[in-house]
Amino acid sequence: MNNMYTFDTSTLWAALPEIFLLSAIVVVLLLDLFLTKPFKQATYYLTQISLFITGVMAFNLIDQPQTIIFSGSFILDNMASVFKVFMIGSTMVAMVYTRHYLIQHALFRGEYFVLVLLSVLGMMVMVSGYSLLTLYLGLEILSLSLYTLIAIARERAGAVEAALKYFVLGAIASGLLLYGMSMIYGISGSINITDIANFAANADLASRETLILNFGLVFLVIGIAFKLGAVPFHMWVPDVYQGAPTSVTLFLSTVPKVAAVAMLVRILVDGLGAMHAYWADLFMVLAVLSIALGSVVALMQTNIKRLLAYSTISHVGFIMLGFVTGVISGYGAAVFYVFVYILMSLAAFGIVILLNKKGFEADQISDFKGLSKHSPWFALMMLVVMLSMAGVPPFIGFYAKFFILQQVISAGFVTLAVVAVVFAVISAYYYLQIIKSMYFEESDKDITIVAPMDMQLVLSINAVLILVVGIFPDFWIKLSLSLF
Amino acid sequence: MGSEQIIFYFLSFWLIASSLAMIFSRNAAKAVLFLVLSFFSVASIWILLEAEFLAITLILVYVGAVMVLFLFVIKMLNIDKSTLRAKFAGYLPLGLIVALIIIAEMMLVLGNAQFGLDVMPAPARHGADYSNITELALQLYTTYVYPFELAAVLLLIAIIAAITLVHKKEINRKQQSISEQVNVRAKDRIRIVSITSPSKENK
Amino acid sequence: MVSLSDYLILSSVIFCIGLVGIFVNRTNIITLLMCVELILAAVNTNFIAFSHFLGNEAGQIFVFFILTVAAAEVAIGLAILTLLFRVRGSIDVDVTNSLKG
Repeated sequence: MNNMYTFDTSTLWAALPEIFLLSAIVVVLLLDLFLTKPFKQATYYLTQISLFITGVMAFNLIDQPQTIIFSGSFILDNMASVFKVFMIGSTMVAMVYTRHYLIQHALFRGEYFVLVLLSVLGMMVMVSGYSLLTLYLGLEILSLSLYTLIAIARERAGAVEAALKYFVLGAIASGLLLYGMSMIYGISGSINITDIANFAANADLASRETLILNFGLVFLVIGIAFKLGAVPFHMWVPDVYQGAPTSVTLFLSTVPKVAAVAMLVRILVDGLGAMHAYWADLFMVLAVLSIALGSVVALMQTNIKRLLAYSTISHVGFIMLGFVTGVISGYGAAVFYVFVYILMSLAAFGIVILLNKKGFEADQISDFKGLSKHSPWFALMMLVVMLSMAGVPPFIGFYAKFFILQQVISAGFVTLAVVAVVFAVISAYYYLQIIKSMYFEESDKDITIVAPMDMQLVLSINAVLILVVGIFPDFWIKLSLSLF
Repeated sequence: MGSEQIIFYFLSFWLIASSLAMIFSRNAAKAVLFLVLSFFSVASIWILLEAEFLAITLILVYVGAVMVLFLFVIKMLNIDKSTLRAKFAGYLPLGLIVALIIIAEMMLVLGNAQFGLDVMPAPARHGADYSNITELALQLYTTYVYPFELAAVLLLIAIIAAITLVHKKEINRKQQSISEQVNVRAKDRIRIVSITSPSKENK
Repeated sequence: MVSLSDYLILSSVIFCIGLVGIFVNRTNIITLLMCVELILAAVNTNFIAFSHFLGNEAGQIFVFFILTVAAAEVAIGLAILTLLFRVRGSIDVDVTNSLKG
């Protein structure tokens, strides 16, 4: 009886990055209290250093054999480690982009950085979660930090309203997700993904068991779709993207998508992979709706943050298409698309932030008018990003779309691929519109770029990577495929 | 009908009635009180299911703290009555129809064929020496120690968030400066001035 | 005897009342938050009923954590609400509208 209750400390090393990050968060939180005004910048550097060390730790755990610890609620495998390194790297880049913005808009507060670190911790927990309970807790750690980050611009009515919308819809989504989880637990008798997978893979399930699994599955898919922002559960995306301070939008639109996809993989692929035929149908509908709505509604936008929100919705549709295929290469293509999406989205929001000045949010498309005259280099960078998002070769966005469509066609869904291509072509129009206003329209405002050198440098590297990786995509594709 | 069933249906009735009263109540403070009644019924149902610890936690944490927090905010902001109630009636019939359809479907899925007593027989009741708290605690600090730590992180976020968002900086607030109070010397506060008495001069 | 199915149907009714509540109280944030609490109560009842009938404690442990999360969530939600009241002077927001195009 006694051996039922054990706690094994010898395997704690597998969670070393998480343990370190949590300790670092507490240190940053306490140190920030004692820093006087001239040294406030130290919080930023401490945050970056903490992230870097956590990233190195996660990197060292790549290629370790699969380890499941904490009685089956935590998994260390290659997917977890690679995702963690990628998330931490993107967060560091996002922080470089946003430091200047935070200072200019009086948001440079210690809590901001602590909350970013906490949300990274939540995402790491999600990526490594191997029971429904840890996945849920990781998701909530992430969500609660994000609600607070959005509302941190507490004098702006728009930001607070966006936070409230996100909060209410997120809470409802969590409720639906939990209802699904309760059904899965009730029929399989366990909350561990390993046990659920064994149960679902059982060939002679009684019809009542299949029925309840499916019933729970519907709620799970709705909950996940909410978190990913797929149509018809996308209502929060444009409002939150527009209302939140641009620095938070930059973070929110990039890194959490990796965690959401990881959660999707853990629950639907690792856990309920045997039920693929059932959830793929739901995904197909969600994917097509997302691609269609994301492409068409974006045409009418004048606010660049809102436009990028709809563009995200359509990218999410493509990511979901990869999971419809139900083969490992399809899942690999979806993960590759996530990597590419984050690279592009970081650069796009980076350039939006670059145009910010004190007391002025450059978030209208018209703010990009005549950018090529004032800053030819960054106009070129934006050109690269937009062409890549539109899926023009040889940029990386083209390979991501191509790879997904290839998998979709080889899985036999030709109509689906054709629909996706049609809408991708429609969506190219609004990306080109931004390019047109940068190169062929005169500016009515004075555009001077006041961003610091480190940001300009990282942003340039980011945009150049979109081109370079687009020419040599093999490494990333192989990496994405090796994760399953 | 056994006594357990009578209790179950009695509690269910109050649960459903008070929940309905909550969502249709036009006064937010009254809605909170209806929700409290719902939570009491839910807690009682949990006791029927031998989850004594959680039932008591629900009363203590939810009714005792969370619901009071709701009431506190409602009264502090004085928002008992919402002004945007005009659209209320228009959505009601559609919502009710959809809800009834969903409930009917759920009843089919969750009905006796799936979870009836012949499929899932009721387990034997635990004896008087069984402690629900011991049972949960043993698992909480061993098998579920990782989620337990994560819950601590969540509460930390709640603290940081509440303070970051609502705390006002030094407006209408008078603070002690303890270090100044301790370091103060007599000469900072009292100045000894030698005054020559005018009456002597006049002499 | 009360069957598992009775408990599940009861909680599904509560779940639906919560959803309807969200639907009809779209503009009243406080009541909306209470409806979310109702949904969570339904989910918790599900977990506890399954836990009882399956004879394993995982469900009850899960509920323990859901209660913790919900308490933290309410604290943050009400903080944001207070903030909105401070900025706008009222808390009337239609959370589901996204009609700006």
